Amino acid sequence: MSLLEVNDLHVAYGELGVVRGVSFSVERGEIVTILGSNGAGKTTMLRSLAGLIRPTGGSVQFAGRHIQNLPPHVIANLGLALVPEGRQLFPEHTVRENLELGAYRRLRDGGREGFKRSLADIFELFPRIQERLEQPAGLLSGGEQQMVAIARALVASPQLLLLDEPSLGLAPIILRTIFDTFTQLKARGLTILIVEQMAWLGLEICDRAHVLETGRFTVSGTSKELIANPRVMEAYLGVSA
Amino acid sequence: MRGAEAITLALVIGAMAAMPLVVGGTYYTYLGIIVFIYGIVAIGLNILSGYAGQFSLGHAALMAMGAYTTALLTKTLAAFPFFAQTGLHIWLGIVCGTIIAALFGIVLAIPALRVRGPYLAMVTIAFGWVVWKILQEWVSVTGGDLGISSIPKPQIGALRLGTPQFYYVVLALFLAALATQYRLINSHFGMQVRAIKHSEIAVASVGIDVYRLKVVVFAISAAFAGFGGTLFAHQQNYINPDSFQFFSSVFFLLAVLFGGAGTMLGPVIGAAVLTLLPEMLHDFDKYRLIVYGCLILLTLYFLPRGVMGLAARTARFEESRRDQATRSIEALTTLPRTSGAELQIEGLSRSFGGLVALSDVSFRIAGGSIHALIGPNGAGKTTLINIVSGVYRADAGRVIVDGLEAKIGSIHAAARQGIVRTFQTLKMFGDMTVIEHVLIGMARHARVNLWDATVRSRRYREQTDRQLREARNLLSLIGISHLEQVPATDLAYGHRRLVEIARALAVHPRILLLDEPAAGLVAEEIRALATVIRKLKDVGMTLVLVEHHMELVLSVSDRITVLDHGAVIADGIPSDIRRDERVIAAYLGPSHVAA
Repeated sequence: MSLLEVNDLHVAYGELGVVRGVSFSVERGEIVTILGSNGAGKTTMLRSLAGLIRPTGGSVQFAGRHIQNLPPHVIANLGLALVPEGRQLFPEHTVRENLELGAYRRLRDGGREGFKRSLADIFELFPRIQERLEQPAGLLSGGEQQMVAIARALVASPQLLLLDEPSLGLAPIILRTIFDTFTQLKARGLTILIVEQMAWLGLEICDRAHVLETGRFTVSGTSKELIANPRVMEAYLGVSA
Repeated sequence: MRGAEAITLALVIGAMAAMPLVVGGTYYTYLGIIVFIYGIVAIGLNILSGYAGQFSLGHAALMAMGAYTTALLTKTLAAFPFFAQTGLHIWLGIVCGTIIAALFGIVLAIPALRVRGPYLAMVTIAFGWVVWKILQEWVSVTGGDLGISSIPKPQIGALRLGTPQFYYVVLALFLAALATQYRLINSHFGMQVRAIKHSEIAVASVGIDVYRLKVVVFAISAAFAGFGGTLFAHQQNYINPDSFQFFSSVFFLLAVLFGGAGTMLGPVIGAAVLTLLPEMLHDFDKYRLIVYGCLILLTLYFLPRGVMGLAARTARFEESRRDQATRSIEALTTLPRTSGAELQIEGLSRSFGGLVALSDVSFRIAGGSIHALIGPNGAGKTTLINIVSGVYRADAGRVIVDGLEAKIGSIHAAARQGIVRTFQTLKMFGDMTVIEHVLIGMARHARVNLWDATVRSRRYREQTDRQLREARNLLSLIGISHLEQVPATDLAYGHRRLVEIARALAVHPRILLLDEPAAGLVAEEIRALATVIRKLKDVGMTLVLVEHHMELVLSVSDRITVLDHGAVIADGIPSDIRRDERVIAAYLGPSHVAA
């Protein structure tokens, strides 16, 4: 049984179909990357998996349970965490408070020790976060906020992490670190679904990948197959600007 | 306007015109007049609250300004035979009442420059309270609680208008008010008004003085309220402070919300329903107000955006489509030449609390060049952009443009000096369309006034066509022509970034500051962006690029400055920067060199 099974997913805004019949699965401990240009429907798809938009058709099974009609907080409590595009931190709360809110359920259920361990892991991954811990998140630079957004999802200790453009606004030196982090998290058993514009980064760390174009998958395969595909190369990996 | 709508409109106006003839007795005619008057006040409030997002709970006081002004003036003038014969005093009173109310609207705008949302609502409540108290206590002028009686009846020439005749006058004025709202909101001014509801900082970034804009909106809104007040005074012949209490202000805001804030007809429908409903509920006797309250509650629960809110989005979308934005005009094909300015940063420092964001930063950006500003996250890049574009002030240091120290006191001041920017954290105007974003960017070049917009003068139409052509040109340059009519809320992240660039270009910048323009774009789109950036350089613009996509930075930049911890650690041409050890250690990382 795959951890995530998406079958013929449709999402529409009014008349306009944005995701039009997407099927795929994500196995436990796997990293799956989704590529696609702007307006292809990637963000909409992730938001529908997290319950923020209700799909208009198809089914989504997470750990064997149908979740396509569940509200977002229930889906989050089942262990599916979304790091939304554009960070969406609580700007007036400190970084620490943002992280505590991310671990809300865990802390409520008495998991303070586990939370502390996660926090220590996070400091190791992002030393910058430790420096900024008591500052309001809104005062952080864009890239620092992105780190906090990822950290906030991690402290909830999810089974499946959905990342919407984690590279957004990050300096090259930290990008490598963050994507290495995903590989490490995978080694510890975390399952990750990434939507990423920096295709070479997304493809390098993933097991399998799909290309989403106008709401449908047009290319699917292993990371090697996609890197070797000339069309993917041209549209998403192209080097010379 | 399409056929079906024109017919509907004609039928509704016909029905309103026929009403006094069909329904016997003057009571319903009287109610009709009241609905039209309240409708006019609600339209004014809708422009302010619905479109501009500035909530007022003091509009009854502005209405009182109009009512008392005309009452006092016309009573005095009526003694002169000239006025009694010509009836001019009535119209003079209406004009003066409207102007006085508009002036008080400007007074009310002053706090709105500092406070927002619920705080502004509190200030307007206080304003309404003060006005109401003055009306009560200043007995020698206002008559106190007894108010002013025997206010002259409306008259045209020597003819005194009875209720049925006045009904038609007020109906005509009401339709004129509705048409004025329609034209104002669908004009260049209306676009700016709708935009400040979503992002004041982005409005300022295209060179619009947000303070001035707000003052004008308050004045216009107050003028509608005062105008309604003058009609009210002449209709009733008697006014006292009771008509202008706090509850009346609540009534108007409720009418706007009930009908649909920020829709053309919503406030009118709200005013009509809320006025007529209590009349229809007479059978409920003492439970009348309870039923009334429950009906309002249920409506707002099921229609949170008001009666018209349901269809509002598509409707407005089509309005702008019909009005101007899709008239088929070909795009220009060339960009005008620009004399890109030289930008010199001298000893800039800035800290936030204990956090030093920039310390003594100096470097020079040559006019007409592409200059990249890179550095690790938190290095101070955006802070520097914010200072140059007038968002923050520097603690120390100077910004020198073409050899002269720039006076950058505000965001719009920077934009007016040709320093225009995009935002890393996107600042879009809600659900306004892509082309509207670009047209707002051209506000600074507008050579028309509100009168032109209201009467749609030839000058106005010419300008609209010209701007539309230029806006289309910019969209096609950026490669998002196909998104022209899409509301910004429906855009993918990367496309929003491109809209920001198009909006900034519409200001005709001499120095364009791009804060992470390629974030969220795929390789293909980044290549297109690089082409655009080069084109802008070719026409002479100075470009400052804050960006993390190194391929883009290295391929387009003439020069690169690297910041770390708020200080310059390197400054040079791309080939040197990519080999600079400090830059590799602080920013690029070893893997980048290998790649």
